[in-house]
Amino acid sequence: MADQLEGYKYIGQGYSVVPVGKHEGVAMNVTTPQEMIKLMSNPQKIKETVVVTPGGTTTFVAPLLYKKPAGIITYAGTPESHLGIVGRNFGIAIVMTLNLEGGMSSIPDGTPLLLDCEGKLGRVYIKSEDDADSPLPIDGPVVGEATPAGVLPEGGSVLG
Amino acid sequence: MLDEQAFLVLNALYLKKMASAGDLADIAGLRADEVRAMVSGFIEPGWVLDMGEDLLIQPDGMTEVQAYYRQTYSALSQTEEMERWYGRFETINTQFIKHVSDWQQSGGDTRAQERVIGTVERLVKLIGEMVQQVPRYDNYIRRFERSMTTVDQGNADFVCTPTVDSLHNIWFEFHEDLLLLLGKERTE
Repeated sequence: MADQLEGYKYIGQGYSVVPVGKHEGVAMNVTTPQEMIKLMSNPQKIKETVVVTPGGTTTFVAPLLYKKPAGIITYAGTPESHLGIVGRNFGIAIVMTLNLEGGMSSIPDGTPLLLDCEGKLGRVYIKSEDDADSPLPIDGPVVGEATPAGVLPEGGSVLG
Repeated sequence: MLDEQAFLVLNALYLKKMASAGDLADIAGLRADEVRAMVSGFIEPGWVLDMGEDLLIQPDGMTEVQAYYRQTYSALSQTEEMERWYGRFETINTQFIKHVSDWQQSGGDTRAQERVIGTVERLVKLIGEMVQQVPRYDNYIRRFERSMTTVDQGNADFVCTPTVDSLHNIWFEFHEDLLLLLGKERTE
């Protein structure tokens, strides 16, 4: 089945904002601007985090994109949005309006996740505990490879 | 309560969440040395965190900004005129987001870019109707016009690249500002 990935359990899918392949991170639910600000003071943690916005509004997490989180998951919204526009610029794995399956109603903090954003749909997986030491099938940029067109380089800024 | 200049600077940081003192000076229309002096006064009470290259607004700083909005704009925010004006903004806002998304996904198509610029020009006119009630909104007109000129000169990064003062960045901040002024929540 297309939803199976060795070492991972499929939990649902939504709209993928930009096709950036597979990315892993640890889930953190961010529900308020204050929580977002707290996370912004820890740039290293952001890079390892898949930010989950449980609420209906998603735009408030857009500033986090500047610090390159591992990914973002929302339960509302579409790629044609402020979050989508900024996410496309940074080439971040974003799955919007995630529809959780298999009886799940939320993603607890600390859950190891994989976001598969190959096409228009983004699939979300939980890393199986039994395969915690398996090689990571991620598609982050390899040293020496050019970044995709329209995507900002890692840590780069654009001079006006 | 914050005085007007302190509000301009702290509000600029509130809208961006994280920025350099130089960025804040440009947004607020003030000199960089003025802004740096003000910022050191924001750090001491814990309103702003100095992260080295950038400043990060803190929850207490957000509270100060929100209080200023409430005290300064509560009467204006309840007028029918403002409610009608905001309705017109929402229409243009929906169009702008679509046009920028289309521009991105078309790889920078010229006609898509013209539609983006057309929407920004409409917003600039709309903001012009409010400058008498909210004089600081003149700064948004200045920034939009500067970025439109830069795009017209061939620098497409100023359409929506997040790391420069692009049209999309300015629009995003303006919308946040407007929501705070009106006491509204975002619906997206």
